[in-house]
Amino acid sequence: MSTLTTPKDLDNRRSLMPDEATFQQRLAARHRKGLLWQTFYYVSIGVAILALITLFANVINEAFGSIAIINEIEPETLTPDGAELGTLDEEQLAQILVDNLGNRVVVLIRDQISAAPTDTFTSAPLSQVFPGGTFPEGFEDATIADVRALEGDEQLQTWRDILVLNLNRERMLGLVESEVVGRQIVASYPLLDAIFNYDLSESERERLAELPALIAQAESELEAFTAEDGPITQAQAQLREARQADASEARIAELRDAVAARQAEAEQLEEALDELMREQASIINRSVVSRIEAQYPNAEITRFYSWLNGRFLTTPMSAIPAEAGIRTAILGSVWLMFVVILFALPVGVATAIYLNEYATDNWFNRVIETNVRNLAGVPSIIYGMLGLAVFVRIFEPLTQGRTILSAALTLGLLVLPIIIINAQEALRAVPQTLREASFGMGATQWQTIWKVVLPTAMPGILTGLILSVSRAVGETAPLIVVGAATLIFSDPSGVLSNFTALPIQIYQWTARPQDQFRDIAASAIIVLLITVILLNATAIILRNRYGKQARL
Amino acid sequence: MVYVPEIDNSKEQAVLLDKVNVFYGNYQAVKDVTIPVEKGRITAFIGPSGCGKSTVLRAINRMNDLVEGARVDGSIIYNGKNLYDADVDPVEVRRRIGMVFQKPNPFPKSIYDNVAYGPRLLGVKKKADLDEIVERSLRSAALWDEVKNDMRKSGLALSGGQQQRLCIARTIAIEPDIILMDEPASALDPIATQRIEQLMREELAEFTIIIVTHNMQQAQRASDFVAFFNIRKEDRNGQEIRWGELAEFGETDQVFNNPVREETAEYIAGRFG
Repeated sequence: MSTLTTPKDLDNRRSLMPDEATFQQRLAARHRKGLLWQTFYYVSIGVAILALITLFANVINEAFGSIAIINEIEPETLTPDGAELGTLDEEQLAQILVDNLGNRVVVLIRDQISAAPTDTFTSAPLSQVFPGGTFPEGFEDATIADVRALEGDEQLQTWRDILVLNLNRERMLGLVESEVVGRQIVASYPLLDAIFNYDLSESERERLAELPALIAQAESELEAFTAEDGPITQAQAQLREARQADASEARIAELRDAVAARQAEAEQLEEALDELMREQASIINRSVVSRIEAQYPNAEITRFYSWLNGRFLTTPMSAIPAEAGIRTAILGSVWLMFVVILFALPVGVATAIYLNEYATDNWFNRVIETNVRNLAGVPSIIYGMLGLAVFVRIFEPLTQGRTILSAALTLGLLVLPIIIINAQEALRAVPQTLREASFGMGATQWQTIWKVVLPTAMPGILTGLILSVSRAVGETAPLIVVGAATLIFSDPSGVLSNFTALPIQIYQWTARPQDQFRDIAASAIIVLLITVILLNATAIILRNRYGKQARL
Repeated sequence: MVYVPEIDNSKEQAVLLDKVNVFYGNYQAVKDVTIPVEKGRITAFIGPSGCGKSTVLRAINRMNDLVEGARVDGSIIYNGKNLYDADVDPVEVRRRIGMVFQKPNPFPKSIYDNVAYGPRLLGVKKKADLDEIVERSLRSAALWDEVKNDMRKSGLALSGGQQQRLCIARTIAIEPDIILMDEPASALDPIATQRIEQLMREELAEFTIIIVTHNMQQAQRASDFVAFFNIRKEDRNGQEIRWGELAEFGETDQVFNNPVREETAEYIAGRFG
């Protein structure tokens, strides 16, 4: 070593670095390589953003757009003086309901207003059926059956009073529209069509207007040509006569050609007619309005209709897409989230604390740790099979089969590894010096964990929890296997009730053939996406605030 | 032969290290360290990196128990009792023998909660009592005047020097007998360092303090006794084995001005380490 660094040796030492020309050459090559990779990164981010935009555009395209509505009865015929329904007051609307539905109004009251269970609806006193005294005076002890026994007009009068007392104007109007007017969405078109292909251009409209006449003319020409006494039949008759009269070969051939020529003309006419009809169809297909007009001449058209609206969020499932909502699905998802957190948070954090703070480095703990990490990668459908076998079947006496509890425990198991890994990460991020400080003060291990380690790690643990809950909210496969109900009309009332959840509802709707189910599925997807984005945003905000705190 | 200092039995000892050996697994880090630590005085541990001075310090309040595979041999006598006897609870040891660490490590809690942490561990709950303990401890750590108006501020919001004084206040809040300081000023600027040294001399004068330091001037200025540790090497089957040993122990003046051992003189003069 010392011999090398003497001045003499330094003088003789040849530099091992590249010479100037090589350096410049390599520098250019290095920059080129950098540029290549940079381009690759830009393209990648471009592809990712494009994919996201396509996803959102697709969903929004379905969730909004044009609709065609037809009424079974014209609303103006129901109202005095043909006024619009919207201008009527509650009493008038109730009167319309009673007038048009007659005794069927009881069914409406049972489904929309009654607080009593279906089986005691007719036998319970009105004070129980309508809590809060919302029934006509003097009927405290009467039952629905008693009201039914009243004379015709008096009975209808009572129904009307009950309706007025229990429903606000908005709901009354909705009921009149769906029950009496028979308002029905018959066709729907995506947002892109509503924006770009809503109506025909002036020239197209003119052309469409003259087409029926042209088609009629072409049809009559064709008919005339092919009629009993038309040119074809005449030519064929001449040919037949000539054959019977043993006319010359040349004559027969001439006549045969004449028949063929007539037939060709007929074909041409037929083609011209087809052409016109094709044109008509193509023009009609070009715009939303022309399609609706062709199919439902009396339909009322709304250009921009949002399938995602207040009614959609607050009404339960229905077999009619335009009346279906996602209240039961949202409530089911909220219940699931709640029970998943209740189950997975304590178990996950406790496991992480064991692994991080108590476990010594032996093979048993290494096996557990490795397996926790592997479990996080197990496909969710496998958790579904597990949940079906264990929670739905084996623990049926406890979980009552296919209930929120079974599904939540399954989803809880699914996200448990993620919670454990995140919690471990958060615990590991707590500086060892803080633990030492606490132990150095004479704290026991339990006190150190409870008073220093956990509070410091809590934001990280919560971030992990929120991320796993947002995963659980979007999971579909395990719920299908565990057996979430797809068509359910009543809200879940506890952990032991049947349920449906947002992703299940979406899955079920997208599988339906009718267009309108696709529209409400897209609306439900938007709700689910917003939920997940909100959850993730909370996690990010929490992490940033935690980061700031730690930097202080 | 391992160096063994003379033990003056006329002085009261806060703690006596008697032939202390520390092992990490099969590796022996420190060999046969014997040091009498006099009560109410400041003892400094000095020596080159890797000589085992921090290891010995952490053995005194059983912080080495937290390191997997660490083992201590020999005895550390405190109040007539060996701290490594089977019936001694390390939690109690650490409550009597507090520690201030190299890097300031306040909890991510308010200043008040940092100081009240120890008393609360011990079950002090009354607000008035806690208030008094916090004020007294912060005054002893010469931090009271700087923070008395924002006790709710996070301990992490203080400057490095203030954080270290907060850690000292936190340690003395539970009234330990001995304070161990592991290079408490190494992460601080000269002015903050001076404050800490002043603190040790004045406000903390009644405590027995053992301080590990790399700074010769600090040891000379701040301590009453100095224990100089050095590295020993041995070639065992072609493999170099290193461990730390006590090379000299004595009153600070004597060790710095009139060292008994040649290696001490060389180290103090800055010829190695």
